[in-house]
Amino acid sequence: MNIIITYIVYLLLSAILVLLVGYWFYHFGEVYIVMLMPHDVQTAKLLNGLLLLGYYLLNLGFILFFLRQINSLQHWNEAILFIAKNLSTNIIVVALMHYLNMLWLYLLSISSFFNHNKNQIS
Amino acid sequence: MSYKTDSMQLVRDSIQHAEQAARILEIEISDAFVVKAYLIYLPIAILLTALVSHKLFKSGKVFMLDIFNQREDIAYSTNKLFELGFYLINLGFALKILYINNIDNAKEMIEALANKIGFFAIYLGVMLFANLFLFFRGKKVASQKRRDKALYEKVVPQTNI
Repeated sequence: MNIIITYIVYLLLSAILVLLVGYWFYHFGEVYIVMLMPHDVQTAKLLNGLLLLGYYLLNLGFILFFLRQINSLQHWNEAILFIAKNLSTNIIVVALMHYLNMLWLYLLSISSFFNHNKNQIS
Repeated sequence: MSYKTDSMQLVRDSIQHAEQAARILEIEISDAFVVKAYLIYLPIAILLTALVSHKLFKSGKVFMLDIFNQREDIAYSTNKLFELGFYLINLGFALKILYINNIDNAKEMIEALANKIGFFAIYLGVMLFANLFLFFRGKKVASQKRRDKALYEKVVPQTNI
């Protein structure tokens, strides 16, 4: 098996995952954070950028931490298994954090800290 | 007597070498079949999850518009966010169950593939119904809130706070 090809495929797939999915979450999640603080849109956009930064750091850690193990792979099926194992842990952690973030945003939006209206029925 | 034990030893050694060669050949054949099975399973899993996600969240837009009172930007954003989460969790699961232990011939490869793809399809069905259940529950909560609001505005006249 070819070590260069596994490096390229692994880094390419991880880059697509991190950059594309990160941009989509950043773009489509802006509405939610602006909804939490509609009086201060600039802070909302900064918060959104901070979340994107945290996402990038987490994914970089996942990708680069096990990069060394590619050297010890010897056959194509071990290469595919390595890529699948690392990508799967990364993707599942990102998905769980995404659903947790949705939950936090929902709980924050009905809490009294962010809710300026008196009655909740709206 | 030593020539007889020497020749017996030679025969035993040659049998051992032949067994080792056969084991390595078996591992190579098995690896080849396993790699083929991986390369057949992965595109099918990705295609299935793309299809299910596209269909589900095409009709999810209608639910979202209903839940968020026809506010288009937040409805489409929520729909897209749920779609991304759906893609992520299904792709992660598809990659996690990828491992196949041993395939000796084509028959076992077809059986292993059928096992994996079937299990993943069942899992996709369960996730689809879970998402549909969440959509319907959100719709029920939204219509309940609307009914409460209508009743409230009937009892209490509209005032500026």
